[in-house]
Amino acid sequence: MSYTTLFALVLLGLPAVGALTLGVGGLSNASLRQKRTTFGVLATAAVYIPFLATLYLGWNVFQSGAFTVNFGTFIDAGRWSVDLAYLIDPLSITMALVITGIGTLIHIYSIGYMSHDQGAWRFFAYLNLFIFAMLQLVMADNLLVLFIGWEGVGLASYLLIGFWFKKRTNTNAANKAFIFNRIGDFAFLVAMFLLLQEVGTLQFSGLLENVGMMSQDTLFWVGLLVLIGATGKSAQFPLFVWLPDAMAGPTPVSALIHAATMVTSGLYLITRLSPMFVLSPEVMMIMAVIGALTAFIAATIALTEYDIKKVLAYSTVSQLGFMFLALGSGAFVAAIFHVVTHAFFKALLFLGSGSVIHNMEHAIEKTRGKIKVGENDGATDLDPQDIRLMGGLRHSMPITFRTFWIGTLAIAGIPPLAGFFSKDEILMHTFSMGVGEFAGPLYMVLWAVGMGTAFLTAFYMVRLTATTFHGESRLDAALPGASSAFHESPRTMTFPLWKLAIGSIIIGWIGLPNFVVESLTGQEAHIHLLKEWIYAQAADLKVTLSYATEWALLAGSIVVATMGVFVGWRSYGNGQWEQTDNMLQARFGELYNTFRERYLLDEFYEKVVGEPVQWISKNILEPVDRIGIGGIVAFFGATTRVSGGVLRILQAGLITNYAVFILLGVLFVLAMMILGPVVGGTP
Amino acid sequence: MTTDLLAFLPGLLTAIGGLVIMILGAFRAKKQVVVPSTLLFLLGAFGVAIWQASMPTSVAFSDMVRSGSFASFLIAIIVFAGIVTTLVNQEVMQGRRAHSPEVYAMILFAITGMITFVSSNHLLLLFVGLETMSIALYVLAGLYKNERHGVEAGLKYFILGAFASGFLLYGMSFVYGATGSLHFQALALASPEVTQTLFFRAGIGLMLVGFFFKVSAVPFHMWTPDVYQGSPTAISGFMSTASKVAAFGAFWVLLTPISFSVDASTQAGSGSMAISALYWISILSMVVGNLTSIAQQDLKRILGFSSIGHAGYLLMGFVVATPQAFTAMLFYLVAYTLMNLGAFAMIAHFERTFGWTDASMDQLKGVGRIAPRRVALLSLFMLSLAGFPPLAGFFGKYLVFSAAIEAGFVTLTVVAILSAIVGAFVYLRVIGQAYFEQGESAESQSVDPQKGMGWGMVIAASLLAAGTIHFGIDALMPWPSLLDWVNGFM
Repeated sequence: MSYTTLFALVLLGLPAVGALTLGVGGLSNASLRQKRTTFGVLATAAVYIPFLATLYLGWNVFQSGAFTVNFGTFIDAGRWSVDLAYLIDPLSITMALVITGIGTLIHIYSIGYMSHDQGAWRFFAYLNLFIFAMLQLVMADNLLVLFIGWEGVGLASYLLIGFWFKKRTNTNAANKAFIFNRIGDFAFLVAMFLLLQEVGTLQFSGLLENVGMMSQDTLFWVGLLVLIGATGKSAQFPLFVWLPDAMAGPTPVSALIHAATMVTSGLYLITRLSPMFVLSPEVMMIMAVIGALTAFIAATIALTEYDIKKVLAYSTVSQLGFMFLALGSGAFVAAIFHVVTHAFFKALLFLGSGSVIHNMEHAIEKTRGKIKVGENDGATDLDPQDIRLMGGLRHSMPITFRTFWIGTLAIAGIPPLAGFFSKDEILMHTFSMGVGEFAGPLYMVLWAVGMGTAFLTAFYMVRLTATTFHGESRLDAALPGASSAFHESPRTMTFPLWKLAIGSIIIGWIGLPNFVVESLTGQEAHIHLLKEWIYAQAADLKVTLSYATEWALLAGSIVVATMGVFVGWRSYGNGQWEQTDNMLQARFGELYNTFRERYLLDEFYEKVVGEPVQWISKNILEPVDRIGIGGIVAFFGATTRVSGGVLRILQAGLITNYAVFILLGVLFVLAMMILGPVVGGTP
Repeated sequence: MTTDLLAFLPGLLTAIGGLVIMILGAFRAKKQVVVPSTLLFLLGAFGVAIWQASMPTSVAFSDMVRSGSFASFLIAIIVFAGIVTTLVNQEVMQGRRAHSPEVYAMILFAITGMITFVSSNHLLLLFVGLETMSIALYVLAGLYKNERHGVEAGLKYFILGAFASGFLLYGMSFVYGATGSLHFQALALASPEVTQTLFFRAGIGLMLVGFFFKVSAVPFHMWTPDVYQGSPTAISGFMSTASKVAAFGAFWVLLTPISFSVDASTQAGSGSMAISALYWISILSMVVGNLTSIAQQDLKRILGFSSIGHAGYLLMGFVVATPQAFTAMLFYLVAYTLMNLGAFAMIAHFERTFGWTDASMDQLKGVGRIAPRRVALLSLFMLSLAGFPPLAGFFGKYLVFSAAIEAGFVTLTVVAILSAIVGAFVYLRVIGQAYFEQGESAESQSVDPQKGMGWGMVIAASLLAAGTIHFGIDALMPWPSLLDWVNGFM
């Protein structure tokens, strides 16, 4: 076994070993479960060591190119077979670095975050399971192995959303996430069947070599089905409603699964198959429209939310929309670039929000303990995630405060922080499609929507940050004296915050725009490192714009982002969220209410899907089941019961009856023997 | 002479062991002496049998006895069942009046009979072995002679067993009349003129009756649930496994060569003399066994009907009668022994721990909450009986069914699969009852439910559980598997 195979095995296997060890260990012994820190450290090691292995493999790929690791045949079914093979190339390494790197930080953070939770052992086992599945997904060499990971992350996500399963709403959220994902999974499965039928292989290189063989129709349908699969997993319109509810899980889960990694798997899949997608401009267009629509809708909803995690959740949906817009504009590198940068600043923001919630919960509980029962009934259902109760937290939690601002500026797109570079690249590609031949005007509109959303992003993020950290503490009004219990989170939680904050500042520099140098020196530049690295896997469409236009777009991005931050700060900087929100509501009227009611999408599903299905179930399927199938079962049951009754009568201690049956049997056997062979097997 | 004795060494060991225990019993030896001595003799016999199984078949006592390879392999299974039964029985029968040293002597004598049964190469010896086994089992079945079910079990088993033995003996005399010999080889080599005669055919048919009775095939099965219910539970497990291994093994050697010699002369390669009878009895057993188990409320009766259904699957091997079917049957016997013994052992354990007066399904309600791990063990055996992958029961069924499909018995296989589905329902119901039903009965028991398993149960249950899991997957493992070993017997 070569070193590379060994390291690949470590990368792919260690998280599974971790999940099994922790799960079995926790199940086997109740006192072992109390060693929460040990569980956390072991789980972290099971992600950190794979991170190091990924670095080694990445170095190998850098030196001698991509390679596959084959662990043998997985399924051999006559005309086709699937190997248990993994692809180690720049794209998968990039994803694996994000997963294991940010995964490690979030594991460390979880040690602190879950230190008081009795179920910590379970939590870490699930987290490791997730990392295992996610690595399967991104390292797979064929769609079937990828699908194992695809389903695996769905399962881990389900388990973790419903982690505090004693509360009904949490389990409902888990079910919702699972079911919405299933819709996408189904489409993905059908796409795989189609590919298997048309091309005869599920292996990536085999598939992509043969895309030319497929008819335009097949390309369209396969592309559309994969896209539907991706919209489920990556929370795109119209299937994104599960993601905000998924915030019911512990905050590290929201950071790792529902912001940084799992939700980007749809994007990864499409990027992996990008040579196939570029052949079908219609699918690309649909993808871009879905992306822009999602980005805008989610950003407007985020404007009106008061739950700190919900704002971040809608912001995630919105950023994922940007990534889909990138894919639809043929900017595959930019999409992956945004995946990477977003992973950093969104994980940072989520972990920061976790730190805030942790603090709020602690303060509420501690203060409530001092108040006599009945003295302050209004304080019994204070929501620690409600930003209306926050404010003024900058004094008590300086680290969280500073890093949260870094995250906010990064996502808003202020240069030179990470979000600026990736977002600018996406919008530039969309604009470039807008001056292109195919559906140009449409892409122009999408570009405008993108710019508007970029402004909104900066605006609502400043709204969130300012309302949380600035102004005066409003918790005191609801619960007197609570603000004195505020404190900064423990080191295990602040350490990852700083690491992620540094990442959020510098990670954008791996994708500096080439044209800046090109326009100055007049020679081809190679300062977009990520593009150089993953170019072979992500077949970008060329940007066909003049340098002047590109400079103008760059300046436009900066202006829009700065405007957003500035306006946001003017409107919310002193904790005046109430006046501003009321003012916005007054100015936009029904439109604002639509945002506030989340476009009634949940209600729409309830009316259009939920209620009809329930009606059909109740009025058609249930009677069929009860009378039809139930009748058959009851018939057999009754028949056996009757015959059982008959047998019981015969068996009332009367050996003679048994002897009679034996005698009948003897006659039967003798008859058979004398009649000779009347049945045969092989002719 | 020495080689003869060596060839029959496992049987000698158990026979001497039985006598020693009888003498120990006469001197009122304590259980602490009796049980280890029993185990010692059985372990010796087991070791010898495993060692002999790696050697080619040889004959001894002037062609009366076979030993080596396949026969010794079956002896090893039987003795293993004896070991497990002893381990379980010494724990669950503790403190009962019926728990005398003679119980172990009877187990040893029964095993001696079974060993004689499977190693016989001569019809007379086969009968002697079968009767030795049966008489010991009659005694064991009626151990609880102060209980109604106990008396009923012992007496029913005895009378009907004697009835069936009569048919067997009658058939033998017919065969002897037709061929003039009682040697298996002589029967196998009998000329077509002889085997075509009504006399010979009727003789084989009557012998089959004795066989069907022992393996409780429908319609010779009716004693089974009654006897399993009335016997001490560990003994029921022993009866349902060891005696069937012996019967299936012995009759395979007796019947399949005859069948083949017939079909070779009549229609090239197809159909054997007994095939129609075996075919229909197999189908009847699967269908009746599994269907009737639905209506049962008593766990031991459920397992009784389950063993009838499993006899049907094993008889499929006789119908197909190809080399694959042979290995499949041997594998199935191993799997069946492990999981069925396991199920009976767990029920016996629960009976004792919770002080059940009977083994009805209602007793199991809520036990999953009190003893989740022990119920998990029971569930493992139940799932294996139901044929869930990756357990031994699944792999056994898979082997039998695929052998049948390859030989072209599609209808038979479809019926088998359908009846297996019905059976699965029953096994799952047992698991559901234990885990998902609320029950007061178990919680209000005076016996401390926290009382765990003793050393005997722990060893027995872990051996059986490990085997049930291991043999489900060992064919996929890189090391030599049971299947490779069994294939070597051909």
